[in-house]
Amino acid sequence: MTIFDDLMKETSETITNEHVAMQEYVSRLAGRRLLWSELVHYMQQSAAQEAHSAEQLSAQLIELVQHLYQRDLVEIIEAVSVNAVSVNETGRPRCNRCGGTEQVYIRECATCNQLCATCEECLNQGRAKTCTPLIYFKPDILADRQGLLTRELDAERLIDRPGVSYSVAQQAALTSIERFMHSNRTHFLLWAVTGAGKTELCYPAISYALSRHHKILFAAPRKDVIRELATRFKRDFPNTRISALFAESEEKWQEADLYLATVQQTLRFYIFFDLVIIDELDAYPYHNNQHLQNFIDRAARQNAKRILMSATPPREWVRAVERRTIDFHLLPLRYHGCPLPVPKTFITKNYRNLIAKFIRQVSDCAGCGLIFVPQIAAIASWQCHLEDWFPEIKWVGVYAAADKRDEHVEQFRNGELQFLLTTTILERGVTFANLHVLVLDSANHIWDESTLVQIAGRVGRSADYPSGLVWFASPYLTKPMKAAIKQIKRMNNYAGKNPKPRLFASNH
Amino acid sequence: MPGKILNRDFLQAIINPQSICPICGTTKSQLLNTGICVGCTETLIKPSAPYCERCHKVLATDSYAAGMDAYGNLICADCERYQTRHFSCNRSAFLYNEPARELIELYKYFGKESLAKPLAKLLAETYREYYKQLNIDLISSIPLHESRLRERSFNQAKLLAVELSRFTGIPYADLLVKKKATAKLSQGTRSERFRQLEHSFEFVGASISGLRVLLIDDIYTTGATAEQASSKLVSAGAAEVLLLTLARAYEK
Repeated sequence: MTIFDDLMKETSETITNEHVAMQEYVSRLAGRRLLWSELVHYMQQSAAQEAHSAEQLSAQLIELVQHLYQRDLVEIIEAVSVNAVSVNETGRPRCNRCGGTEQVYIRECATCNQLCATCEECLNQGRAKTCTPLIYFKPDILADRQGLLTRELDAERLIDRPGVSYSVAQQAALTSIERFMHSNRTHFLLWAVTGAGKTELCYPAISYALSRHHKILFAAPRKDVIRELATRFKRDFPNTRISALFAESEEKWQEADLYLATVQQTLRFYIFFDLVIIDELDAYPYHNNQHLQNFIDRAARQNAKRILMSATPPREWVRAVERRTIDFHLLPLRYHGCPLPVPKTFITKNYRNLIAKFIRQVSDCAGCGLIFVPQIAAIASWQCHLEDWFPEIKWVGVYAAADKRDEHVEQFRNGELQFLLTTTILERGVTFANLHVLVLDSANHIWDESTLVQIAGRVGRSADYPSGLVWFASPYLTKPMKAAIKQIKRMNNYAGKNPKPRLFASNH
Repeated sequence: MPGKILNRDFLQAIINPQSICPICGTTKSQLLNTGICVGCTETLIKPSAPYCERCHKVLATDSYAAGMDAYGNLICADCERYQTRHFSCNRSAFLYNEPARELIELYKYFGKESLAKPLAKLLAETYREYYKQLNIDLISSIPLHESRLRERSFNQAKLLAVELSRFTGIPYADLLVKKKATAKLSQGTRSERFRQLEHSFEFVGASISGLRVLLIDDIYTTGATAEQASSKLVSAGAAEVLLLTLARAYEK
């Protein structure tokens, strides 16, 4: 007998004290859509249920979910559908959880003793099967919003807050975001150059949504970014309930108004968010991945507002802007008002002389240098070469799976290491003072236009050091290199045409 | 429009064929014969000579072997002590190192059943290397207890065995059931393992008298499971029981 059959059994309506205690925990799950295994796991974690064994707990949960189901507070469906309703055009079974059809396999299942479909696309976040129920806890909007009314709200307009000040260019962007928030449009693209202060620009939109008791999702590509954002948001919105969601997060099950999440984590939400802010929508996990983009679409309400932020928007978004289907604002100026450093290309096969020159110039201005290489495998070989050529410098390489990666990056930040070899992991979301960048073998296919623009965007982010070296070294010129340089120049051009802005607004 | 897209993908597939490695999930231009990419194959290490001829344990080169068996083959200290075993030998596809642990966890506990095929291909390679000349009559697998089977919804060893039987052409049969639910064996000492597993299997198949049976399991640690299972097979009349496992655990 599967859990499904258990759930659909007729039961008495009585509810024990233990159930009431559990109900308290379950009420925190509003807006989430969970597999049975995830629900059991959550209840096991929550403090009150420690005493119970897994079987007892499961039995009690079944009664509780039945109770909620009879009151229409939860929706129960199978995790993978094979019936005619949700089988899509291709005729394949579909995972109701992640929406995937590609990796759904029908196999014999010993749990239900039938043929049963398993989704292997979202497998690492729990196993979705036809015989596993997927339980959607409907958000109790009324209760939630009443609760919010009693809580103190953060200032509605952060522009007036001391500590956060916006430049004139940023204020222009704020005006268009505000116009968008009051309109009935659903998509807004904020095309801002690297180092323009995009996160701060969302503050007014967030506080506006908070004042209307909306649920907000801020999605970013990497968990390092989420961690950094969480501390920043918790400082700037002290009265708001904020929950940071990533794979190892301890706040995963917290109820909040503002959720900061990696895209993968949004899988557990369904029709819940009113405002969705997507940072760096061109970055690695979502780029060219319709599957992950669908996660966000499922988590959002029907008329949810979406703010998409990028320094290098993908072509389809630019096209959508041209067709006027989405609103947009271009912010070509960095927050400190200085132009973007333009990359310089070096057509050479003799990297040794070039690196020597780079080291000399970086050392002259007492800066630090990031050297980008195309693949993880190339790090070790370049490290050997560099140790051979320049033995007086300590060479360290970092890549995604490197042990001591965070430690080395921290050392680099402190100035203990002057040079760092890296792959694309440090391409975005990081800020170092007085940084200079050299891209080795920039003709490699791994460097596309947006990656190169992002790498160039690491340089000159602080107001104290607004410029620096950006060098692309390769034996020949490639299209992405040319396009990246052209894009940076165009942005600088565009920024220059506007009347020279004062650095900060008057209230600074 | 759909025609155009189809056309493009079709051409792409001919000019630049790409395939996805089932283990690491990345797109690679070329996979090995086993259907696994070069990088993943590199992380899975084959138990290399000198190894124990019975349990496939890799022997340290300095303290060469603990002993010899009657035919002059190297065997390890454990196998020398427990000479009377019901299975004649074990062979493993790779060592149970960290990447292998992750791989088997993904297959067994996360339930990525599509890994059964590539893993069975690795088993088939091992089979070809050691067992091909032995004229094996029947493939079988270590069973799971019913409660564990329901929880996991598949028997990891059986899936491998069925795939292997497809690759090698040797028939597969369920010969054993597990009637005693034992705790997970991942921890515990050798004697605990042996005690726990005593009389936990039962023979249910048809007559296998005089047949040479190949038993499949996922991990070989002390041989406790294999010993109990093969003793049942031998007492049911099997001429010889051989063992083929995915991973060989070893002390680090």
